[in-house]
Amino acid sequence: MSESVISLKDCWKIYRTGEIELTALREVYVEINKGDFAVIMGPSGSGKSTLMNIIGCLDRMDRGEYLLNGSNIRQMRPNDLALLRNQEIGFVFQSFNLLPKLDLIENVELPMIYAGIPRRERNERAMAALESVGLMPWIKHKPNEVSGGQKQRAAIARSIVMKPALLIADEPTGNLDTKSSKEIMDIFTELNRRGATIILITHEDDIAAYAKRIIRIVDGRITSDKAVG
Amino acid sequence: MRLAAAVHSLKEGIVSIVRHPLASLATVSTITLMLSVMGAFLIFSENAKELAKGVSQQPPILVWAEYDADEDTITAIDLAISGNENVKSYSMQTPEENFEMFREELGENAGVLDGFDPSLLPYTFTVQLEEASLADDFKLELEGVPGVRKVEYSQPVTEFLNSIRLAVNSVTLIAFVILCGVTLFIISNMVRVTVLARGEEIGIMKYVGASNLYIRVPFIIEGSIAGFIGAMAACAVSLGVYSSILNRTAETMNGISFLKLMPVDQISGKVIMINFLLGILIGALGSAISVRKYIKV
Repeated sequence: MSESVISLKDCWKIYRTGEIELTALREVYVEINKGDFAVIMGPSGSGKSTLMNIIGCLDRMDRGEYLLNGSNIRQMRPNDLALLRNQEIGFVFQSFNLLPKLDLIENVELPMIYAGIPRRERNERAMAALESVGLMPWIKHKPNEVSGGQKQRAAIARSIVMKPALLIADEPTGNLDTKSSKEIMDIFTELNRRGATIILITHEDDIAAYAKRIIRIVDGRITSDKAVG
Repeated sequence: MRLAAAVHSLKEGIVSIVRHPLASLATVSTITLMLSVMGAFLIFSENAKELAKGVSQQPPILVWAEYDADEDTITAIDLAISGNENVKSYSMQTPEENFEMFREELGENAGVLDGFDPSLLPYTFTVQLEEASLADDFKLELEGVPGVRKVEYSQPVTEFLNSIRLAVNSVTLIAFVILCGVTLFIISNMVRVTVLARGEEIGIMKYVGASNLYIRVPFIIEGSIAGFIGAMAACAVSLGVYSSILNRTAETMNGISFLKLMPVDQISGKVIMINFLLGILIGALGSAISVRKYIKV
């Protein structure tokens, strides 16, 4: 039996603005096992990002149960969630989310600073992560001095440097040209081949084709969950 | 908080001041302005208190002995006055001295006193108290001493001076509280703008696992440093202006000792202490409240 990384049961998320209620997620059940490469697809406003925020411990659900690597998320305090994001989850975003004032190696070192890892080890691990995504010649460059594809590779290096249980990528190729998109997806495929568990959010079919499993979400409900490839 | 992260947060707080020069300048200017106003109030209040104290000592209390008081009774009254801890200074006037003063007051008409026996006049004591507000208690106590005929002082003047001092204290306290509130509000808004401008950076810190404390600490350090710099500038402004006023008025007030302003070194300690305490505290507190309020972590 596969080892479960994510177990989300009967998840509901409702946003309230005054008297208006918007149910972003309803009765969502998701099981992600170790080594999965799952894509979450859906139109704009379908609840993809809300689901990603909940899975990434950036938001709390209103109802349901969420186990990440066996830990019950609902009972955790904000600081425990921060620690969990630091140790167990790596994020990659469409807009890269690199700090512009830091060079690429400093950006990759950032999660290790919060984890209290000594400077020498931080440096070694950041170099290794950047090397694995082919960025060694640019480690001392600031984000605005490299291309979009290189920024995204740096973001991937930052997401894997803590060796997290789960990688979450939200439209990681949304701001990239076709060639850079392919390079980024090849990196994800390689990471998955080496054992990384990946959840990728996209609305592009050619990107979804890299995954082993496609979960479709419409109006806050999971409408299909199929293994592919 | 781990050491590496604590060092990082400290460094971030310090670097942020330089990295956001306009925001820092606005915050420091705001703190300087607020603390300068506060410093001016403090200096005014201290001088007003000192002035009230000085003026209240001017109308002395006059203690009259009985006309037929013997030497032992006078000694007993003298002891009662000198033993009173509220007495700042006092002097005794013999009947002869009182007669001379009376003659001097009459001036050209002093001749009417020719043939008058000075020994018919009583002994008197002129007393200055530490504080004018103690006059009532002093009067009651002295009137109970055998041989004392009456104790005189200008009650309305003393009461007026006391009410001025109380009003000065109240106004200073209210101004102090209001200024603290306004300063806190303005600094909070300043930090809020900074926080909003750096929302993306804070978001990234959250994504990579920074706890609430790691996010807040650099802002608190930044606020404290801005408060420290603002306090330094405010001290320079308020004490500098006061020193200049002091120099300009020194000659004018020369003849009126109780109207003299307090020397800078007598007042500077309090101004410096309050400025730095408030500057750093409000800077840090304003930042902490803003971060807590506006960063949903």
